[in-house]
Amino acid sequence: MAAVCTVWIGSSATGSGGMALAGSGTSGASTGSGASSSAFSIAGNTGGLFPGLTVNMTLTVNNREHFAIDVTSITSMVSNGSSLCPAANVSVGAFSGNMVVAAGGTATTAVPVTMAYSAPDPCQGLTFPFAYRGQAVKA
Amino acid sequence: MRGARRASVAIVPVAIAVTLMPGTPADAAWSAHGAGSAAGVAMTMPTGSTPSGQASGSSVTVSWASAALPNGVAVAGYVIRRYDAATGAQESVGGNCSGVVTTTTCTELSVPSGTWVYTDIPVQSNWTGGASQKSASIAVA
Repeated sequence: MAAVCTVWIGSSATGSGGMALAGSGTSGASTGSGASSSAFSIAGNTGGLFPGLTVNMTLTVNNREHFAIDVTSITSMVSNGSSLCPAANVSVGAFSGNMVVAAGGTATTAVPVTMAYSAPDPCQGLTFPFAYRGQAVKA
Repeated sequence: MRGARRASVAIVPVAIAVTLMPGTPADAAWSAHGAGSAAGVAMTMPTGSTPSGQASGSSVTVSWASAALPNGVAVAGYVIRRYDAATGAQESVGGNCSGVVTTTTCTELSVPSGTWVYTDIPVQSNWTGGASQKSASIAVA
């Protein structure tokens, strides 16, 4: 049986007691019927960076939806460690593929993190903030 | 105003039905962004271990223990420095001990007469670690 929600076009569409509904289109960071504004989170830290070394960093995706999702891409943006050690000294590989995450569950993947061999001495001991962004569809 | 309300009521039959059954076009259109933040932390270089030295004529052989990064990987090399034991003045290091030494021992040739102390500094690419404590004094006749 289908559950049908109806959006009325007219002045009475947002009256008292009205419901919030994400219809077809865009709602915050999500699109499609029933999508929430933050469907999943991405986390992952790494240490041990030094010039010329590549380490594998585990990314954990937490699916906040009540249905399985298929994460198709994750990209990362690196911020400066300091003014003397810019972000260009560290690179984080992207994930591209199909990572199915169960409803309310988590899944992991690994991406490479590399510090450039030419990283200057002031990079020692610094923390480089990573910001992740991912794309998913319903599995 | 009343006229406007009547107009909106008139178009009420124009509705969008959103079906929430799996496998429908609405499901196929579902997509979302995820986000998060974290960090990567760089290691720090170790400090060199205190070297020892042995003079033989005008040559001084300096030795020290290997230094490792926090992940256990030995550093790529060391910079050796020599100081006047009395004044603390740094002198130029020659022979096999100049530049980056990739072993844990080196022999400096043609060392001037005097009393000297040595240090070793771990290096890795452009990174430099902390200088070791100075060696015991080494007399060169």
